[in-house]
Amino acid sequence: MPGQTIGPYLILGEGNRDKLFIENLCQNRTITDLTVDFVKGNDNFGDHLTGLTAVPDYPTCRAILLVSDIDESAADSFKKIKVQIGDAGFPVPTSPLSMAEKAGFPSLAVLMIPHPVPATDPRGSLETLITPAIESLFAKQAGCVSTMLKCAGVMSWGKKSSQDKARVRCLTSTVCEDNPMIGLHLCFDPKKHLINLGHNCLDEVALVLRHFPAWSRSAHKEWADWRRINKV
Amino acid sequence: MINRLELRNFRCFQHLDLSLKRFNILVGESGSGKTAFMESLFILGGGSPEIYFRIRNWRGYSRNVTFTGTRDQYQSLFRDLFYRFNQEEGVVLRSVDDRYGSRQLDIAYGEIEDYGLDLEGPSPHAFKISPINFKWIIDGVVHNTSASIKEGKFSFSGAAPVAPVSYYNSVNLSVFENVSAFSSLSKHYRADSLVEAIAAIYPQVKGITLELVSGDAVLCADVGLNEKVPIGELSGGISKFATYALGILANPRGVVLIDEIEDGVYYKNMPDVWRSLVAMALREEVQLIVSTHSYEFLQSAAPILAREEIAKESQLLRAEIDKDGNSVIRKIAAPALEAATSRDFEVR
Repeated sequence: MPGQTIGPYLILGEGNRDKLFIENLCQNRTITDLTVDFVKGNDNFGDHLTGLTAVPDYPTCRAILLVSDIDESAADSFKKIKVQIGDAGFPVPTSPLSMAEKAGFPSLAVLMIPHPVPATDPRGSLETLITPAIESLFAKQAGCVSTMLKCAGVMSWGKKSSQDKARVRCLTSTVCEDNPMIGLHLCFDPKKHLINLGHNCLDEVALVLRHFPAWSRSAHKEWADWRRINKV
Repeated sequence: MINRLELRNFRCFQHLDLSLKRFNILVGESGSGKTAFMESLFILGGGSPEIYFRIRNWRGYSRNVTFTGTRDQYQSLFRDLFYRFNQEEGVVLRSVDDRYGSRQLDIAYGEIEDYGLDLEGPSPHAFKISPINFKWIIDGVVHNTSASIKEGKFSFSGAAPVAPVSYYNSVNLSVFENVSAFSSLSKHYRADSLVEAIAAIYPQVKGITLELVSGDAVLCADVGLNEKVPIGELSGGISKFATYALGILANPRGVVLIDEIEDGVYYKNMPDVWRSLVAMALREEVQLIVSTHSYEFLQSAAPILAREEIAKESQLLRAEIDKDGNSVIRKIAAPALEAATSRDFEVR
């Protein structure tokens, strides 16, 4: 059956695991009023936005936050999204966490993850963001996995996001006896106790999500400005 | 091609001003104004108030109007033409066509003094009613027509040149019109174009001819049997496709309206049916306005309309009810329709 959930404040992740992560994080932190969906890959933000304009409830949408991985370059990944947003006719933000506006369209901002960008290595993905939240629950296995990744040569891979994906995959496998092949999208289920969604590594993302509706309605287009002025 | 349509005080539309394209697909929930929108184009294309009675009949009213002689009864015949049944304000339908120019139809009651009626009958009495006038203004030339009552029966006076608009719905698939359209094609050695269009989708059809069946001229198909088969007996889908194809082929540079186009079409045939109708409409410079409730049809039609060469000539129209209870129509570009339906987004 066709269908499309759209609400006044729409969060769009790249894939289903991003959607489930955001939904479970919101549930854990009691963040309401957001509608969360995914676009099936970071090449599809533009087409997804274009398609949304045909949905009957589209006029009720006031603001959209796109959530995308930095991967190997924040600048390149953001530029790729900007091009898609522009091609779809939507307002194009000048930088991540900057609110763009255009008459007749919902406001639009982009959140690149990991957020905040790690000082040691400004690359990564959802796995980079959540690794501390998993390792905090499984310190012993985390140490073993680190050793194994080094030993197996994974840590010499060129792609940081690939390293972190391997780390999360190994870690979840070692702690899931019943299903070592468990996909990341299943790990966010609170009943599985595989990730601590209350971990402080997720605080900044949760903060953006919590205040996204208020920020989108304000006159302050930069998240940093809005946050400073509102003492958040 | 009708580029623009404006409606005032017509049925569920208080005011609508809409640009149209070559290919228009109309969706919307029941009661949102889809049929009223289609009917506005058909009525506007007519040349006499008689066209309103045809539509009234398609909506389920009897062909036989018994007039008992009261003003209220006379006006009740027409009241559904008027927005919220407000017959004080006239209806205005107006189109701008890039080939045929502007066309306007004003529907309003005349002055009460204009018309006196003496009914002869078992209990004769005299009263005055305001006759309804259908005034067409075609490129500035006024054509007055009206529906009056003479000897207890309706009579239509005056006529305006009609526009090339064909309207097909579940109750208006006229055998006579099909026969007439086919004959017109055949006379100009163009009947093969119909056969080719049908055979491309329904290969069992190898030829179409006009035959007399029980004294009536009927379209019959050669399907490889030892006898030709009337198209209507062959399949509802083939019969309907033949009707739509004839509507396009015999109506060059006209407008073809199809209500609930998916009706009778097997889902696997939907892309081919639509592709064929679009190709014929492009060739004959016909404007297509079709309504549908079918998501399968939208998924079939969207990629065809989003093709680069016709995307700018195509749009989805969605009839909606606004917060004040008025019918409005929202336009959606073909690429957005394609992006939405390829992701299973609901667009109806």
